[in-house]
Amino acid sequence: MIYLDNNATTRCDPRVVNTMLPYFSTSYGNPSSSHIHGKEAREAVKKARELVAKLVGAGPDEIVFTSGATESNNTTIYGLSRGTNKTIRDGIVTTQVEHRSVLEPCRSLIQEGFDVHFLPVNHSGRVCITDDLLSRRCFLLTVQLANNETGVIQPLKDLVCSARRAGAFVHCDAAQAVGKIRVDVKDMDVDFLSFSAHKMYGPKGIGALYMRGGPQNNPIVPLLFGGGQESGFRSGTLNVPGIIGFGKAAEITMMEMEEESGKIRSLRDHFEETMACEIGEIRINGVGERRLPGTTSIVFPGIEADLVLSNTHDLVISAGSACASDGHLPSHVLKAMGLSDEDAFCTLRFSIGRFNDGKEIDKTIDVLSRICRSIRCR
Amino acid sequence: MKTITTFPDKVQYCRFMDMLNKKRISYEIIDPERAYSIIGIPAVVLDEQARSTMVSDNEGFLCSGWVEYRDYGHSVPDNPPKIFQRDLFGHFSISSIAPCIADPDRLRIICGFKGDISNVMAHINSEMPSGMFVKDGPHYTYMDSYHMISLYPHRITVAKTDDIIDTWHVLEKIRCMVNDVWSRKDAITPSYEMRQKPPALEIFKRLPGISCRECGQKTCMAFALLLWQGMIRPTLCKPVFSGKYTHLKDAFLSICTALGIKADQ
Repeated sequence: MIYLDNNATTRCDPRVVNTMLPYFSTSYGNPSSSHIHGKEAREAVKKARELVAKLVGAGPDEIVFTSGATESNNTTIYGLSRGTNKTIRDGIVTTQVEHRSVLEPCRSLIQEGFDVHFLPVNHSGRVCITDDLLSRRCFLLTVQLANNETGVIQPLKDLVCSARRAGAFVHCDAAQAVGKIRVDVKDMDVDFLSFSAHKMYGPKGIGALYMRGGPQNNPIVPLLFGGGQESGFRSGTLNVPGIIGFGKAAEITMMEMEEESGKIRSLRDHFEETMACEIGEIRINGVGERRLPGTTSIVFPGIEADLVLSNTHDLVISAGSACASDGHLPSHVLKAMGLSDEDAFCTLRFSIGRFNDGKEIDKTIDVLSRICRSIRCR
Repeated sequence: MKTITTFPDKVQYCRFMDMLNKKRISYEIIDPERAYSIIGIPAVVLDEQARSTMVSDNEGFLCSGWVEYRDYGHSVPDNPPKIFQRDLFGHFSISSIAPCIADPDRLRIICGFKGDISNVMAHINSEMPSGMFVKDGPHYTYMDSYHMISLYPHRITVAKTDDIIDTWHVLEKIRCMVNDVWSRKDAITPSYEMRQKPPALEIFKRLPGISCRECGQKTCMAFALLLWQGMIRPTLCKPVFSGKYTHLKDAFLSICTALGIKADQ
């Protein structure tokens, strides 16, 4: 089985798993407890928090652990909307290519009377910026750092400048970027940053929200109340094994990312170049833009992605369409980039990661070439 | 465990059968003849080991994907398929057959075709106001019993079919419905209205909420969901139509109308 869906989730690194194991069995204390078991867990969480914070250039007090990027995104958008004075500021600006965990809360806030603007993207998937966009009534700009489908990296600095002129907070969904490219909250000048452990070879069910200056210095209204964990901002017993795993994943990333991203980028480039030679007419979405090193989204004109997926039994990849509550729809990201429904239905996404090697990429090229030829010869 | 597949076209099916016979693998065939002969290619049932052999020794056939075989007891009718003077679809090709995400015991299928049904969608939208029409695309999504069906210019997706025969039944029904609407197009005013179908929760809000079970369902929410899917009649809610909650009748009927559900449906 060749796994090329690392943007959906990654395999937990064995080093991460080994670090987590004692926290399920021997060191199972609740960090909120005052006894020895609690103290042990508290110390371990403290160290992990330092590592996670360091990964994004933040201070430990600025990190709040959540269940993942979806919770971090929802917390920022809903929490800030509750904390804003709606009569003075009621505007949110986001983009048409965000993850659904940003789009859906924004859409639901429209029902509550907020004015939400969805920025378009150009045909390469890069956000189009206009000077007048962030009006004085805007309280939040929320934009992703890198797109999950195309890997296109957004021009965050330009967007942040516009937001600062309007006095709006800036939130960045960096779920796909952290662990793959260098992310520094101070350089980026963002107020909030969402990220998740399972996209960077850590466990599922644990993520983080960076908050500039920490929870106490922000007008976000918490969504969860109870025991007052995470400085009263996110109540609920801490997911200690998850946090420990997140810390270890962050530590490994800091040590290995530079070399690893070079290797992954060269595998991706080799894959794209060889596919173009083997298959002939293909189009790479977002080509020419800065992209994540391991992501490639390819249109195979006339070749239905679903038929390819039906015949790639040992290959794990994903299509440019998804089953949703209102039908099997073409990807909103590809549609926003101006692709036709038919091209979106002929799009496949490959996301290469830490555990892939050149042999797997060559085997993938062989399998896909054979299937594409069979489909075109029908 | 038995598994089943079908094929995007007859050539692939014949290629697969040649391979099967060469390897002397035993199989069962489910044939779409006669009623579903226009939209279906025969399906092949193999045991898991045989499937694994065929997949690993793939000598160049294309299939539509493998799913666990479940027999829901459907059978293929013996009547011939309806012939239309002008069939908008052309050759049907099932490109994907997979477990449905919402209900893993049922199937989700994707079917392409050579024809183009873009021009008939506004007419369908006019004839069947309970669906959702999206002008940009275009595409039209509707429920037929518990099946969720989406029509695109060159493809159809169906969620929650029982098995391959039920899949063929649904596809044949779609073929007849679309061609029938197109044959009457001059008498139908096309509608480009893009409606948002209210969620099932909106029905629930207009029900008594007492979960009396008189309708046969365990809760009012279960009743609302089935009604939303078009699987039961509104009048089954006795408390609203003849009991203590008749004051809810107008609000209940108005949400039914918005969903394209008639009271006596």
